[in-house]
Amino acid sequence: MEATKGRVLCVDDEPHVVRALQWLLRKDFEVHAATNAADALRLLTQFDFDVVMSDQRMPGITGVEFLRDVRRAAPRAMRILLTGYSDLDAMVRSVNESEVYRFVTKPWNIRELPLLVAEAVEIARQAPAVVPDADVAQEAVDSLAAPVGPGAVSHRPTLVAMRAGESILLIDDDEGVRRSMHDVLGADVRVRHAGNLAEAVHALDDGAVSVVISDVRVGAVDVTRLIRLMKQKHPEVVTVVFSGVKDAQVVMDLINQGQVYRFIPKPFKPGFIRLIVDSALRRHRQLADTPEVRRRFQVQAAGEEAKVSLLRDVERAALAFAGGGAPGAGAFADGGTDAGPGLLGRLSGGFRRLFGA
Amino acid sequence: MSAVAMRLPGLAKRDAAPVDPDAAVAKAHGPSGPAKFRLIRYFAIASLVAFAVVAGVFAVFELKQGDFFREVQDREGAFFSLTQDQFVKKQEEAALRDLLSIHEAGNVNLTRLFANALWERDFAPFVAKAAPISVDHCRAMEDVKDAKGKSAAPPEKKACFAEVGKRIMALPGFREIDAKVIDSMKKTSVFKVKVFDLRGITIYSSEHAQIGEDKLFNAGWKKALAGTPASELTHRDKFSAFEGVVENRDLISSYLPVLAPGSNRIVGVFEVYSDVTPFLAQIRDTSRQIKVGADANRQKVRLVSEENQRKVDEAASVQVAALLAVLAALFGVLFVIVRRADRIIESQAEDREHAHQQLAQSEKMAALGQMVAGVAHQLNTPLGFSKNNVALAIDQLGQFETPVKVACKMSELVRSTAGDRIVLDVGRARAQLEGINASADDVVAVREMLGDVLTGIDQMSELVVHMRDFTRLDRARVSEFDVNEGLKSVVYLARSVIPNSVEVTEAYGPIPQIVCTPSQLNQIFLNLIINASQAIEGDGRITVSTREERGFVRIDVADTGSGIDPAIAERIFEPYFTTKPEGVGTGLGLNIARDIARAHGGDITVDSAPGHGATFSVFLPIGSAAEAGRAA
Ligand SMILES: Nc1ncnc2c1ncn2[C@@H]1O[C@H](COP(=O)(O)OP(=O)(O)OP(=O)(O)O)[C@@H](O)[C@H]1O
Ligand SMILES: [Mg+2]
Repeated sequence: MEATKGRVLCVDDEPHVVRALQWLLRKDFEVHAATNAADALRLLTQFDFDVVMSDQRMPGITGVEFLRDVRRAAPRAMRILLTGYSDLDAMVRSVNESEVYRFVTKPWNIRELPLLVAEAVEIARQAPAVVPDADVAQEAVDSLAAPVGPGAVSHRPTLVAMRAGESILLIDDDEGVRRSMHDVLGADVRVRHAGNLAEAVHALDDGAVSVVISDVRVGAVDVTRLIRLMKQKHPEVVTVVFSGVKDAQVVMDLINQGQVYRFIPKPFKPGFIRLIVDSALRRHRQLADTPEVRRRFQVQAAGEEAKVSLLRDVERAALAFAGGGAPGAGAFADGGTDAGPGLLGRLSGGFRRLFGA
Repeated sequence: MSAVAMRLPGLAKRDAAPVDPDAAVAKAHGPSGPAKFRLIRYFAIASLVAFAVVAGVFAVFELKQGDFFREVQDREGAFFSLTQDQFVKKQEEAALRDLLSIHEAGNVNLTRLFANALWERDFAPFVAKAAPISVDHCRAMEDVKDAKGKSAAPPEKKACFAEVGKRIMALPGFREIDAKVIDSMKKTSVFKVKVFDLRGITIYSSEHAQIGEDKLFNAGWKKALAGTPASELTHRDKFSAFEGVVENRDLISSYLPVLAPGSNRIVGVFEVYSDVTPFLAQIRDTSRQIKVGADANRQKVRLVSEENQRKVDEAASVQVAALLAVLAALFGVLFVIVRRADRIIESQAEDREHAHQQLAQSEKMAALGQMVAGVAHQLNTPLGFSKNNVALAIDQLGQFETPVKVACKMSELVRSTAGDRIVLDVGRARAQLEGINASADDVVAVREMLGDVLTGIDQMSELVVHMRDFTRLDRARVSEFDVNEGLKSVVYLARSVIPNSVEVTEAYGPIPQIVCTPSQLNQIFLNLIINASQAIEGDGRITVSTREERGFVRIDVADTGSGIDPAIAERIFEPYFTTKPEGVGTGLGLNIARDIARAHGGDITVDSAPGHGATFSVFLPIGSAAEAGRAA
């Protein structure tokens, strides 16, 4: 048995909820409770918490804002957002601003919640804290609201120079996005492009990808499965997802199972993307250099069926590609006309390597 | 139903409408909307008037044309008869002139004959014999003026000349001359013969009484003396001719110069009266016949013109009738077209109305859906902790099983033991009681957990009650309603969709209940509150208040949001007017709200200063709506 129980702070404006959480968690953890953000922040100065769990809707302040403050005040603490509302805006901000570890919906599962808290406590104690690189993150957030103009461009920080072996993978079937991304990032940034799942798998298997920038869908195919599954095996790869689709469940899965680094609603400003890529690269280095940190971004395992359906879609994409004789097929078939079986074999090899299937 | 009029500043005066349920919304767009344009009626009236005017103008023209034609005909007729008359007259004049000149010529010849036969032998000596008879003394007598101012010879003068005549007749040879003249003129058309000498004295006349008369001033005599015969047509009722007195005769009297045989020397003047009565009668008869012919012609022309006029009139009425028929046919065709168009327009209006109602319905459903989602999420909180607590309590109860069993066993033992001692095998019991780690505090905790569950259930049922109060599907549509209670429910539910950075303050004043359709009023309140919250960016406050004001219940929904730009303030109640992005606003919210308020005999007004929020005020009548509601 450990020397001390994990120290947990529960914040909810509804006293019955914090009482219930206390009853649920008190056996295994040292539980502190607050029914407003001010009390909670005071407690944060008094105790060194392993986990902070907050409600989203509270009078005066949202859970996201509170957890953003927690991220600064207690970087070691793992943050969990507890909410009864599937408020998309709140979820997006919980990704970008608060970098929450998990997003838990009410009513919570009383078997799983203690386990989740225990896991978070363990991570908080073992993995070194990630000091938020506040300026970049904040700037990125601010630039969301700032007008795009020469002013915004002039103070853009220079990108961290890419190291050997680092590259960015852009998964998107929109040529316009691809071109504007290229314009924004400049020629010195290595960007690989994947227009479908097969190409994405191939690229991921092929070389060291540091950052994945992806749309939620390419064509009609869901890409988030790929992101979630990949993150499970390769926590050092940082993912940035953008989307015009407003679906709370997708974002929640991307948080809990994909630990997506940033979620960007479309349309976005080019300058913003630059900042995001920059900070994503920094995060990637942190994760690459200090493997222990990776645990902080550990994902909840995606279901087995996600893996199966993804493999099916990847194969389908590959076949359509090779069969159609599209120009990009050369990426897979090294000049050979009869690319089918060889290509598939290579792909499923890559898939196995990537996802351990 | 009594229509009670009411007044309130800022409110249009309107009849209290029935608070009829189904169609507060439909109403405002239906009959009580903008006055309907009655196409068919207006078309029928307008076109009938226009056609009547056209037909009238045409008829007047036709009439005028008929009149004109008649005028022309009349003028032609008049001209025709004038020429005919002139023709007849001219013809008669010509005939008379011819008659005159023929007779004159005849008389001239006669005179020549007469002169040749009688002058040299008989008259020349006779005239010479009469020449010494002086007439100067008679001529010296003054003429007198008669009643008409015309100078005439006085009786003495005439008597003087008669005396001269007697002296001439007394001259020798008179009887022979007289007998010769009468003899040679017998059986001719010559009725009378006179002979004048160069002095102008009547030397001879077959009517003896005239012998001696002075013709010095006679125009005919003068002319003849100058060498030109002069003839004149006269009518005499009585005339003494050779063979006695004749009556009613047309005569030509000719003064004829008598030339000395074989020379051009005028030696005397003859006057011959010849009878032209039969000729004249013939001429007159011819004239009469011509006149009769002319009259007949005129009559014919009149008949023809009458016939023409009749034909023209007939043609005109046929034209008017044809025009009327064409206009009627045109009207009929247009009427059919317009009626079809009207039907189409009407059905299009119906379709639009239908679409509008469907949109209104879907707007309502969207608001409700949003609220249902909000409520569902709001339920998650009490649901979360209640479920948590019940599960924990069940776990805890499991821990109490052994202690309760032990306690039961103990109490049974104690009750069944006669003595006051019980032997406890501590060794065995220790092993059995090993598992008990529940404390009395745990029992307290379980009670508290379940107490919280009760609170959770209360919260959930409160929510359910508010939802039921909001929709009121299980209540009469029209009923007495406490607006404050309704607002409480709406605010309670609306909180679930209002961001928590927006504070909602409620300030309800004492107000009477009103008869209304509560679910519709709730819809108004929800629309206003949601609008208010959408107008607020970030922090803000919504204040919902009620009070009684001059016979109305007044509900204010005030916000600290963006306010309304005066440029669009006029338009916010229009259907489909929205400043919100697609998907957020349909622009029907306020339109429907106002429809409902008006259907209740009330209204909605707005007061706003841009940048300082807006206040929407709903006025609902206390008295009249109640009456209307009861009657409905
Ligand atoms: N409280 C308010 N403050 C400022 N502007 C308002 C307020 N309420 C309404 N408006 C203006 O009036 C417009 C019409 O409102 P209305 O409720 O009819 O439609 P909507 O809110 O845009 O759409 P919907 O209600 O159908 O979702 C709004 O778009 C907004 O510009
Ligand atoms: Mg609205």
